[in-house]
This record gives sequence, structure tokens and C-alpha cells, in this order.
Amino acid sequence: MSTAGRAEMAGGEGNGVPMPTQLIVAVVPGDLAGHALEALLGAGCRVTRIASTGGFLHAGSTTLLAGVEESRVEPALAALREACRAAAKPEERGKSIVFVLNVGQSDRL
Amino acid sequence: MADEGRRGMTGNQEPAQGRGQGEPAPDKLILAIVQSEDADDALAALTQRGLRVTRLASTGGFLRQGNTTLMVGTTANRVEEALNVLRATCRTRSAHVAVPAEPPSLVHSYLIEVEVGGATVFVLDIAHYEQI
Repeated sequence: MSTAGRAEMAGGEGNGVPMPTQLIVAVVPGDLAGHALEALLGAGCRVTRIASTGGFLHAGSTTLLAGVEESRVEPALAALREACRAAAKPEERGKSIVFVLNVGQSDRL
Repeated sequence: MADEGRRGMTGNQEPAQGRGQGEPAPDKLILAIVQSEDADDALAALTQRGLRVTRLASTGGFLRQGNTTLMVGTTANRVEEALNVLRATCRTRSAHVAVPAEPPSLVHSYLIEVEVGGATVFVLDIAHYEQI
């Protein structure tokens, strides 16, 4: 796929960390954020954490951004699913939202 | 239970929590960067239409005034509707900003008129969506 070529051109292969071709955006309830973050880090993702609000009564939530190469998306999502399911209280089930977006270009400067 | 009572009264609580059965998964993610003072109206109007919004605090723009980034996950056929809501709630307006007089004179500063507001919007394709 062209995305792989792009990752190579970006030079990421050289230092062993391929450039991300997908962006995982996870919006999780506030107290699940730590678990979700650990899960993504454990799956080898670099994660950015942003405070956010949303849903009923604008409850606190955390948005996590993780840029990953294509082959790591599924393992990262699996880790995220496992962590959120294990840590979610009954009322938090189904409240973690994950979007995976295609990245047009990424660079580490 | 008090909690139950509140549930009953708020018609839009259920959709705000999770996608109802039969509701299509979103395939578009709208990122809208709006002025903070428009954010509440925009958020309320979007939520009222059953659109799901996540709000992020951000800064930027002219004089680094507070702005807010709204993330809306929706389906392609509702993107235009969401943009119309943003158009209606995030109007461009003029504001007055004091600018020091140069060179300094009897008049310390001038008020100049600048345009603020509006919304910067990105619509991205969602490659994969899930609710955990």
C-alpha cells in the first residue's frame, strides 16, 4: 500500500520506529483514562493525552491520540478493548469511543 | 431512585451515552475549532440534534484567545447538517482591540476593529470505529 512507502520516505524505518500511518483517537471516561493510556503504551504506541468533556452532563473524559503504523492498529485496539472492559464500571460500558483515522503524512521533527 | 427520575426526564441522555441499536456507525469525524464564547451554543445545538460531541480546550488564533475544539463523529449524510449548525452558531463578528499608539502621543492607544469568530472545520474520514 502507498502508506508503507510513505512511512519509508519519512525516514522512520532507519531508526527502527516506522512512521505512523493511522491515528487512533480514543475518547474514554475520565477514570478509565489511566488504564487506556497504559494499554496503548504497553502496545508500543506513543500517546498524547488531552482533557476533554462530552456526553451526558459534560462529564469529564480524556481524549488519547496515538499515531501508529498500520500493523500495530489491531494490537493497540485489542489492548485498549481489554483494558477498558476490565476497568469499566457497569455504567461505563460502551462509553469509550475509538476512531481510527488515516494519516496523510507524518513527520518527527 | 433519584437517578432514574433524572434519566426519564432527559430525553437525550440515552443517545449521548451510546449509539442506539440500528444507528449507523460514524464514518466522518468533524474537527471544529470555534471561539470559546460560541462553543456552548454550538455544543448545545449539535447535541440537540443527536450529534455526539466531545469538547477539547485549546488555544490559538488571534491574540491566543481561548478557543475550543469540538469533535463530532457522524455519518457522511449528516456532515452538512452539522456544518450548518456550526455556521449558525459560530458567526464571525467584529471586536475592538486596543493597539498602542506609535509613536507615543497624547493618544495612548487606538481601538481597531478586527474580525473574530467563525469556525475552522476539518472533516476527516473514519477508517474504523468502535465503542468499548
